[in-house]
Amino acid sequence: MPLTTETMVLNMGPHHPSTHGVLRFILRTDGEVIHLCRPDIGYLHRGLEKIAEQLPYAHFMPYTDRLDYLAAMNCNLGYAITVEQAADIEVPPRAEYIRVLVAELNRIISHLISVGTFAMDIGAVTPFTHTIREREWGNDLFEELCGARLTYNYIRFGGVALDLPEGFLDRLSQFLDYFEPRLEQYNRFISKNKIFKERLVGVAVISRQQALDYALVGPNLRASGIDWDLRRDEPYSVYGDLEFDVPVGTSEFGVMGDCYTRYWIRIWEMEQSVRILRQCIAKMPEGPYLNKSKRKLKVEPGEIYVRTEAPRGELGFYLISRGGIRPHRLKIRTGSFSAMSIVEELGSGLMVADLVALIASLDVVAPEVDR
Amino acid sequence: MEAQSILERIKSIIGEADLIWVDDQPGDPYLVISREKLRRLAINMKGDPHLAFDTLMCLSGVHNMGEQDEMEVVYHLYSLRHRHQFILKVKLDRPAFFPHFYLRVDSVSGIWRAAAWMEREVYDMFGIHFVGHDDFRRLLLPPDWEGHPLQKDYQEPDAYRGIGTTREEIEGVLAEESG
Amino acid sequence: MIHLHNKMPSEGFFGAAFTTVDRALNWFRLSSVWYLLFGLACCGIELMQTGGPRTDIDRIGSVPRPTPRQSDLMIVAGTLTYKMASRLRLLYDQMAEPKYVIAMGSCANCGGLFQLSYSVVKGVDKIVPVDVYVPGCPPRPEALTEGILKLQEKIRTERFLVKSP
Repeated sequence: MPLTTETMVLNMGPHHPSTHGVLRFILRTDGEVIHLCRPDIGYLHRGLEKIAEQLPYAHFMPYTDRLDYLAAMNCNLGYAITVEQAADIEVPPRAEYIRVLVAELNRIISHLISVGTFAMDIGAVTPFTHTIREREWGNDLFEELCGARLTYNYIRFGGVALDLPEGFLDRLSQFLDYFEPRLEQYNRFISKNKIFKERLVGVAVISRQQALDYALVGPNLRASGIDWDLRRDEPYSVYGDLEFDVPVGTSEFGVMGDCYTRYWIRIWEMEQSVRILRQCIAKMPEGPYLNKSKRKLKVEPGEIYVRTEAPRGELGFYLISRGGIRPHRLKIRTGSFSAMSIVEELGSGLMVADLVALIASLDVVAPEVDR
Repeated sequence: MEAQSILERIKSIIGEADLIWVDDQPGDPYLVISREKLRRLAINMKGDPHLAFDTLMCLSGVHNMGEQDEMEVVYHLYSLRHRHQFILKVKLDRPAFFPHFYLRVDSVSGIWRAAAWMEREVYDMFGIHFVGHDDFRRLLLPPDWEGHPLQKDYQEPDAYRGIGTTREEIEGVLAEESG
Repeated sequence: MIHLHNKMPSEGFFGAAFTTVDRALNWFRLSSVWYLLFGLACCGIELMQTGGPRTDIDRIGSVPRPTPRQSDLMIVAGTLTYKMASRLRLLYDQMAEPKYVIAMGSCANCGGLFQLSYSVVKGVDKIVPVDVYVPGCPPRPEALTEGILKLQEKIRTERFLVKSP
């Protein structure tokens, strides 16, 4: 009598120990191998776009913090640049450098959480405590700067809310001196670890054509071999005056576009962010930190689409104004949304444990997917 | 390529009828096309070697309730090869009776796979149907939700499955502040 | 838990014995309040950092558990939407008695800054009964630690074997 198997429907529910937020996957599996993987999202849909239509422009800034809470400064920055371009508001040079400084520091601590939870999902719990410890130092710096640890609400139209405190740049230099050797330590015990490599090399390869078709952005796109970074190719703020490299995936570390390459891209991006931060500290100009604008800002009728490079990819704000103090429509385009949409195609043929590695390597965070 | 030369190329592909080019207001210029021409234009915009729009950056819906009730679907396209971008719009009238018969647009999810989820979200929020989509259902809201929230005349329900939608204590506080 | 207060003496030698047993039971329970990881949004990150190396709530006995069957406490950290509400109730029902709920953050307390939204439940106490509300957006790890300590105070004053006269 021949042996047959049956497929089973498994629910990787909205509540699961992986810390990427409330995401649900409905799997049809044959043992460990997945035949069909269907993501179900919307468990953190808070209606940000509808809220934006009811509030004046400046009042929406705290909501952009909650859009991607691990990289709140970058979201603030994207929204501020959009409204400033729509309303023709100038930003003084010191404020531009402060904005780039906080955005890059936020990129470092966002990638730290990404790397830490990635290792935890693979099964290694210790690297998570190490990266959390580094992140606490970054949180302390932000708390000294603007009073909040996670959701900052620091960037205003025309500058930033508060000036840098006394000695902040020295403490930031101390942090960078402490942090750079740590990256080498992470490489020794996580990145070049044999078990880590066995789990990740060749898993869930995203080809170049797939990455373009699904409109992937950020580190996911660069890991598939496409050399595109908004900070270098369409520079905004003062990124045009700063020197940095853009890491792109190659076949040197495993297969181009697999989970291991996506992990390495984030480690290299942290190194480049340290480089940008040192340049910002050296070049910080004196001067005012804010060009005050009206509290109930009026924007002329028109439409604009502005994108900036957040840690999870490009963050696009499409703003339609009909005059008046409230936007007519604000559409937010996030990188994690596209990254979730590719899981359905890549999921079939993977094992369940590889699916966890794939989701962790794409670095999705639930509020960006659902808004 | 500049926007004007892209426009000339588009006109040579699908003709000049029913095209409205808007570039006189602040912000980005855009091209309004009719819904019948959308599919053929989208295929050519991806396939034509001079245009080569290989990425769909953003697909959004807009609802305008002014003198006339209309909805728009806006496509932001970008080409990584030539480093140029373009914006397309399709405008749909929303009549008072049986609006779902008129709010229909061809789906471009066969051309750019990124449009698959973006179109589902536009349906969820606005109620616009995309014809030819392979997996068409709500994306963000629960499947038994009634209504499409981002429409300008959306009324919030009083309760969803027995859970009330308001907070009774703050209602009194809000009334005191505004009254 | 069955309250035997109708039958248990509350005074005299046996009263003292059972009150001491009560106090001992409470001390055992409050020293190891294991919490269910229910991080939904931004407060979930502060919940993770509260269990992290600096503010370590493992030193007051609280260890994170991924399953409700093994936890005493559910910390609802983050915004609750209507789509998620039924899962919250399901997980609460799966926990064993005695169980407690901490609503962490403004969104869990009352809807927070999303009270203007159409898809957010305006307060977790519409779904589950809440013992301690921790305000903040997000609350600092020290604030959450104080919330857990207040819960421990509440557990210390509970009585199972003997009802106070």
